[in-house]
Amino acid sequence: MTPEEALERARTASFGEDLSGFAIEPTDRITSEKLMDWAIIETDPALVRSTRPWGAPITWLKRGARHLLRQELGQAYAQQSRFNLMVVTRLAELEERASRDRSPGP
Amino acid sequence: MIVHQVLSGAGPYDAVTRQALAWRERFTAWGWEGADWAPFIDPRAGLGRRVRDLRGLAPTPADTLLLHYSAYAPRLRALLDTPARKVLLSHNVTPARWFWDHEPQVALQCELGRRQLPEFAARCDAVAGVSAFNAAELGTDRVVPLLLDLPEASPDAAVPAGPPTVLFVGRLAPHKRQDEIIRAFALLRRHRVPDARLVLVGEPLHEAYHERLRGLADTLVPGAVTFERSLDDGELAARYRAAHAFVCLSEHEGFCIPILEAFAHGVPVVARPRGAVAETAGDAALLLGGSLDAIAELLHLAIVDAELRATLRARGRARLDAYRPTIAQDAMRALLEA
Repeated sequence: MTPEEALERARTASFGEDLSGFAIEPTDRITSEKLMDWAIIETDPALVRSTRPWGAPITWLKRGARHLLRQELGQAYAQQSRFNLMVVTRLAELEERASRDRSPGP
Repeated sequence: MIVHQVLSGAGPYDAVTRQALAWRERFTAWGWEGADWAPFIDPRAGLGRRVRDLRGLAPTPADTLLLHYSAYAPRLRALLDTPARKVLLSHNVTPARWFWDHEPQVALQCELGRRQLPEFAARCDAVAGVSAFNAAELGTDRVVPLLLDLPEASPDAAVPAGPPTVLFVGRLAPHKRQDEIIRAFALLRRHRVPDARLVLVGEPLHEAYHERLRGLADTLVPGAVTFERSLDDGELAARYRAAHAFVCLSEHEGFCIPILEAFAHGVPVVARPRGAVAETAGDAALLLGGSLDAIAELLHLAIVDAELRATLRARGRARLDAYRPTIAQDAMRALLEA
């Protein structure tokens, strides 16, 4: 079989299966719902780690520091999230108002 | 001639870092002086003095700066104001749309990197890409191919022993579409080659992303997918030698070295023609932008059809001629000595 014949045959292949699960979709348009999702800051403690060889002690130190600073960090996250949420909410209201203004009248 | 190479960052398993080091060996052999610099050097890279902190670079008008552009690096901007001759070589920056949902820090780096690239290109004395795809984004047709050290392609590579194995080498990252590779592989196993195995070699974006891909594999094809990382050159070569087919479903590639590595090891390649993939592969791969059903069927044929395998191996060997080191070296000298 030549490569060209293989391509021709492959184009007609159909196994009729829908394989669901984790799927990647590029983010081309950021919706208000997505912005609302992103507005709240939530960090992942598992990403606070050392990537060096034999970095376990450094990871322990980093996570300990994170724990010790949780009151400071908590305030920062809360204040930033509050601002983000209010901005996104205001944006949603403006979009709704603009949509109403564009709608034809009775 | 004094040529300083400047990287956006230097890291382990980083293709651009390896390229710069390979070019430094050539420059030294040509009697050129200079050093290699980066604003950030990953301590895991083990580069010693081979790559230096950018803060130590003070170029003179007699110097040439070769900027290997691959990511956002604000500290590089100051170099644009120096009197040295500036040459930009684009390795491409992945569009941020692939990362916003998965890793915002990387997404920001990509977004800013792509926004910054036109400004950098406009302020350099010469620009080129490592592929025509990359060069076109800069509005040029000037290409300096990657400098590759590939094994001599054997014309009589035997069919690997062991179960039929599909291989992909590349970072576990959204645009590399390992999720689709796993799905296509599941179709292959369920409908064509029930004992097939999939090997995915690459560093993950982060552990959570790795776990999501692993979860998908465990759901669709439990026990049939192996994730590997941090392989040395010998281990990686062994993975290629053991592979019956190489698959690439990336949505964006600025070059895709693993395709050429597959050719060098006599492994048939099935790929989606996105970015620079079609340019790199030429006529030596089965290129199809179709459904995963079609991809699975191509993998099946590449594994079982001896005539097809022989044709693809021969085309792959021939394709490597376009990437001989002398071609890259001539292009680099023409770019820098102009």
